[in-house]
Amino acid sequence: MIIESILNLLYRVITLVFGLLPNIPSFEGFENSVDTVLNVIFNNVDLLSCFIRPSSIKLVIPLLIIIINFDKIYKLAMFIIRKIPMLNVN
Amino acid sequence: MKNLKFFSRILFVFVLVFAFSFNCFAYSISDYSPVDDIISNNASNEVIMDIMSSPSLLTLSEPNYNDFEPSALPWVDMPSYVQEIAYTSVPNLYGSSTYLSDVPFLAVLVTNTYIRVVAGYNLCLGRFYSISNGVTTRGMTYLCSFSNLGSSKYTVCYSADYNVDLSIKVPWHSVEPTDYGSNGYIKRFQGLGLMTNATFDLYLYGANYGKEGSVSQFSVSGGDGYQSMHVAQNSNGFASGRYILYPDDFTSAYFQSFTPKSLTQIEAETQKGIWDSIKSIPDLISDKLKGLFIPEEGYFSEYFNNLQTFFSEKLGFLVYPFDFIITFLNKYLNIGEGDGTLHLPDFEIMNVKIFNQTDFNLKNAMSSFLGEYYNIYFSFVDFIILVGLVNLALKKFNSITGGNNE
Repeated sequence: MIIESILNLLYRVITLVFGLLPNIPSFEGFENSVDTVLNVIFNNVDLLSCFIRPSSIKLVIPLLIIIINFDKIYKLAMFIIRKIPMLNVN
Repeated sequence: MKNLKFFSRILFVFVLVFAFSFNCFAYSISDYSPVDDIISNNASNEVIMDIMSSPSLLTLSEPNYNDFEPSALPWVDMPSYVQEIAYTSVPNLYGSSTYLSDVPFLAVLVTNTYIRVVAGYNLCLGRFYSISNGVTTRGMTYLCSFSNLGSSKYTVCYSADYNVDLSIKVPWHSVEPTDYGSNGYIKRFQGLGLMTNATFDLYLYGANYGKEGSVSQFSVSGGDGYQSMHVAQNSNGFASGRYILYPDDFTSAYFQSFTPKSLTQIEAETQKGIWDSIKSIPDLISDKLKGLFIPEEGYFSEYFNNLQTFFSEKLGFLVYPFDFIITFLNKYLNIGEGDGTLHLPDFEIMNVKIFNQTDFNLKNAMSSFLGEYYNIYFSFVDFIILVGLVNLALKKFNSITGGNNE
């Protein structure tokens, strides 16, 4: 009850504050078109499953993203490691 | 002017960040679905409410005596213990509200005359035998048609201070033909279910009772005081035991005997109920405390859905990129083992239809063409992908370490 009251109050504040702003229009036609394209792609992943196992796709794509960006990950990791004086890494 | 630009940028960034974080959060909980309540209790209550409120169920039509020939029906001797209860225990039930559940079985509770039948809402204190015109007897068994009460709506009670607004469902004329086999029957038996605190030994007769399919399983579960019941038939063509039956033709079916609970049993249950109530006090307290801090089920889901709707309406296209990303990720994560059907939906751009929906199952075609080699093919593709990934990883490692991969 307490949390509900707080959240309800927060909701009212948010709606009040944002209610002062004018409504920003949405590009409904554009959004529908993009959604349609997205649906076409994902509804036809079935078709891709004729050639590659979907589980393989789900596994490979994140791995691919990680490998391709591994230099950035490496740099970030090294940046953090260098900040640790005890390790004495240059 | 410079400050204004600065603040407008800050505001814009704030809106974007807020919308994004909100969308992420809203989507993260959008899959939240509270555990479904077990509906049996609700369902039972619903039906009971229906019985109590539906005029059609509270109305009894006149019996058709042409269809009801007790003398032509096979009779079964009442078990001795039923007789004993009828003579000794039933009078003790008089005035006990606990036995409310037994009342509608007036149709079968017979030998002692302490049960009263009330027409409409006015007490009719005549004892059971006083409406003998509506009672058919044979040995220890009585059948009551209630045809002479002068009202189509009956209330049953067995003490002057306990008036139960409940219709008697006299089977052979309370069932409309349209109810046969439908929920109407179940509702009607839910009406009987109100009285199922007692254990019944029902002997059922009917012109169609022996038909296959004329007896269906019937169960009431959930709320207190309800029993699950089922129906069965023995080889002699009549149902007996702890049953409720609804034949196709109910005009010649009736209950012949029943066994109420003993008073000792009821007292024991009452004591148990009191003890259970005491034991449940800590749980009630903890529930109240829980309710104080933990919102009800579904609250968060509704809350963030409302917020999402609000921001979608308010921020318009600013929200869409986040919607798009999250929708994309959701769709990606929900990719399953498809059946390989090429599915092209109606394709429209700006309300202009490009082509109609088309389906083609390519996977079946390939599977039938390649046979067992199809799985080998998949394994081979996986192997190729793995090799490619390893190769790419090595190259990347070399590029990072400057070629020194030792």
